[in-house]
Amino acid sequence: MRRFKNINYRKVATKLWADRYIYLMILPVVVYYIIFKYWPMWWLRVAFYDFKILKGFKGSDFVGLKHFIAFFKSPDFFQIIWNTIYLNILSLIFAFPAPIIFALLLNELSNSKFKRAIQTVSYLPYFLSTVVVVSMIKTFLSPSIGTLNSIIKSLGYEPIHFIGDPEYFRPIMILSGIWQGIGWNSIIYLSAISGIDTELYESAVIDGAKRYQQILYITIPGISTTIIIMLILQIGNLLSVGFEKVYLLQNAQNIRVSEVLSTYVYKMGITRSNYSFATAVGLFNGVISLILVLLANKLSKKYSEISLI
Amino acid sequence: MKGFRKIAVLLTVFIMLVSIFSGCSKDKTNDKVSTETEQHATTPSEETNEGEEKNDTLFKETFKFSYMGSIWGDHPQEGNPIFDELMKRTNTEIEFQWYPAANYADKVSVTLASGNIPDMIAGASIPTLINEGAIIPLDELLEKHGQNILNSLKEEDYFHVRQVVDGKIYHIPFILDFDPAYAMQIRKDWLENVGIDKIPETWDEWKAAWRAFKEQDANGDGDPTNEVPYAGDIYSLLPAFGINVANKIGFTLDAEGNYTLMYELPEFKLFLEEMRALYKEGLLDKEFATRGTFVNNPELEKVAQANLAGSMMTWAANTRTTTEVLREIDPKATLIGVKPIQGPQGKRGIPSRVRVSGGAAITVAAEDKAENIIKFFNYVFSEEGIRLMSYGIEGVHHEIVDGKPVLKAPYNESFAEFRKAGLNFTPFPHLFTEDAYMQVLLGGKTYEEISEPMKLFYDALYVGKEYFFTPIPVLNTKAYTEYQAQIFPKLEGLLAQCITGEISIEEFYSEYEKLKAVGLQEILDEGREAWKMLTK
Repeated sequence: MRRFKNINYRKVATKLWADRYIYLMILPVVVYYIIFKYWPMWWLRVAFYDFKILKGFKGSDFVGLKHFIAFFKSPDFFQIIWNTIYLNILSLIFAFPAPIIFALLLNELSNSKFKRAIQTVSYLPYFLSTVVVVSMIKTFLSPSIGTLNSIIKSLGYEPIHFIGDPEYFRPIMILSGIWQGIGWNSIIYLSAISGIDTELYESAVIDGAKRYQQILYITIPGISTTIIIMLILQIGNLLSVGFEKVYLLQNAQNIRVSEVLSTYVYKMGITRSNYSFATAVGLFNGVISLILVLLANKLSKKYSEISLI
Repeated sequence: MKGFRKIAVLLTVFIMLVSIFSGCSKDKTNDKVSTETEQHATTPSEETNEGEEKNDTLFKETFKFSYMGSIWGDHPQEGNPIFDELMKRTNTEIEFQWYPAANYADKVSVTLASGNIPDMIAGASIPTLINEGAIIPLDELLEKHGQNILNSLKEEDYFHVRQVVDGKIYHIPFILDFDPAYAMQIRKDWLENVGIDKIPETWDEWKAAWRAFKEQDANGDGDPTNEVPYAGDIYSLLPAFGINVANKIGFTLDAEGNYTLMYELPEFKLFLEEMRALYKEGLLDKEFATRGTFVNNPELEKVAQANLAGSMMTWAANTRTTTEVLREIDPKATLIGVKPIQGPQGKRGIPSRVRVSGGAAITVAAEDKAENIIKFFNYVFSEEGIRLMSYGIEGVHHEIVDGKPVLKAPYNESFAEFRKAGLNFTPFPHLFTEDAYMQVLLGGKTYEEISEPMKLFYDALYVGKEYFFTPIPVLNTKAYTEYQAQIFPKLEGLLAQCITGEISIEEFYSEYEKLKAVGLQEILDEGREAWKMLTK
């Protein structure tokens, strides 16, 4: 309280007025977060009701943890959680480092025209809609009309039903994810690399450091803060998998490995208008994600002294 | 310069705030009101002065109601002359709110949540609307004011319109009074290419044909490995085993007439054995789980039109479209409709069209208007209304020949042209007649005059007529609503695993039994009771 007593409100008001256009610029973002991120939190209590849209909270029955228990008791609960986490761990192992490596490689290109051309081409898949990407994947991998299977058949092997074989579901997800996001996700690392003091490279060259040594001892340590922050955020998403792509690639043959939290919530919650159940799973997901982020943040702070908060 | 910066900042902030709030606003662009009808509504005095229209219309004062529905394909969103005529005849003004079919269910939910509920909602899940308390039962109103609607329903239609929650009717359906829909189909030119003269009928004959398709280069493209002997899902083969099912959920009747799931039938085990053998031998479609009439029909059409599918069970119209596409490259290509497969136990069947589908419900927001809405639709289902919805306006869309309506060109040339004119408007409840369907199908010509692909379609419609069965509806019992989202995808997955040999038949049944403990048994029990209640 003493801290607040010492505040010179007149000075603060003057400062606010002086920077009014800056605050005005940030207003839409604040409004966006209040409306679309904070205000919906008030509706999280839907998870504790048998919520009926037309009747509202007053007309809906309070059911406590019923929907959470129903979720935990569902026959495939552990399988779904495992599928979600496993897919994300694979993504963390393979898809997370890919844009870092790509950014490091791009940084080493000396021909600026070639570098820009590579960057543009690598960004393009990011702007394709998921529906288009999945349609391309399905056509490319089709056992009857797909290019890949035509090559396999021309080599004398039996065609493979990639989309139907559960073994291929995760590799397809990861590889297509890398292809689609490698260029776009490398931007943040490229900008981090551009912030490294060039004098460090010059000194390293004078000291006789080779290219790979410059990468190893200057570039990577230079962007390590960015990498760790991105890693913490990624760990927070361990229970979240983009819904559209999984749903579109899912079929009866691969459902054993392709049913993840988001597709399950969609089927259980949205398609049968059970918003309470969907909210309960969403809340569970949010709480676990928050715990994971805090945990990753703490570990990072302990071992590398880099953290979000 | 400073002033310019201020303006730029204010403009940016304004645009960003507008972008944020635009997502919260109601999309007015989709609310279509017929302009002609607006004229009628705004000029009632002119009609009174003319002194004739008032007496001919259904309502003395203009009756207004709003109608929310999803629209697709060639149906016109605005400028529909049929609706203009209908509203003119009945002195009604309908405020249509059309939305694309994709994510329509979400749109319905959002509309309910907004509190701005239209008077009628079409094309939405009726059990969901009942559960939300959003719609009202119509039995009494139909009894009093909707006799034309009730008379249009056949006994078997009631299983599809009555809701299991209380046995009441909550929606006015769209009725297509035309049974034929599907056909078993085979490439006649492929049969010739592999030296088979007789159209296969029995299970063994079909297997022999499929083997020949697989082993020989039936499509003649030089690659003997790319033929798909039987394309599409496995559910389409169930009737050959005496399991009359026309979807992937699998509700049917057992020998005693009890409502049950196909997995409960003794014939299902034989079906599993045969499907596993077909898959192992490479005769079944490798992509059976991702394409087929009851799984993903556009994908099935794609493989058929790529000259890779030897046979399939799908919409009869596929014989025409596939043949036309294939003949652009190979003039000999012919996909014909044939009698349904006679299974290992001599059984065969082909699903007929379910007469009633879709439909519109009256919401709680329109309880005071419900009587007039039913009266309005009673007119739509009257002889005059049926003629208007099926044949259009006399002199414009049809002429009367020998006392019967005969569609004029271009409306009888294709379903696309027909629908573009506002006819056969399926997002709106009405009865569409078999005669109008056939007139469009034949394009105003006799059978002898129509093209060969069209003849294939016509023949395919009727070739299996003696084996038609009416599909059993999925009853939305409380247990079904509660557990279906976790039980049926799981079952579908287990079935696919069993067919591909990933698990054995015993393992399949073992997993199936386990599901009974987590809701499946309740689904079976409640379904059986609900069926008894509906058929009482």
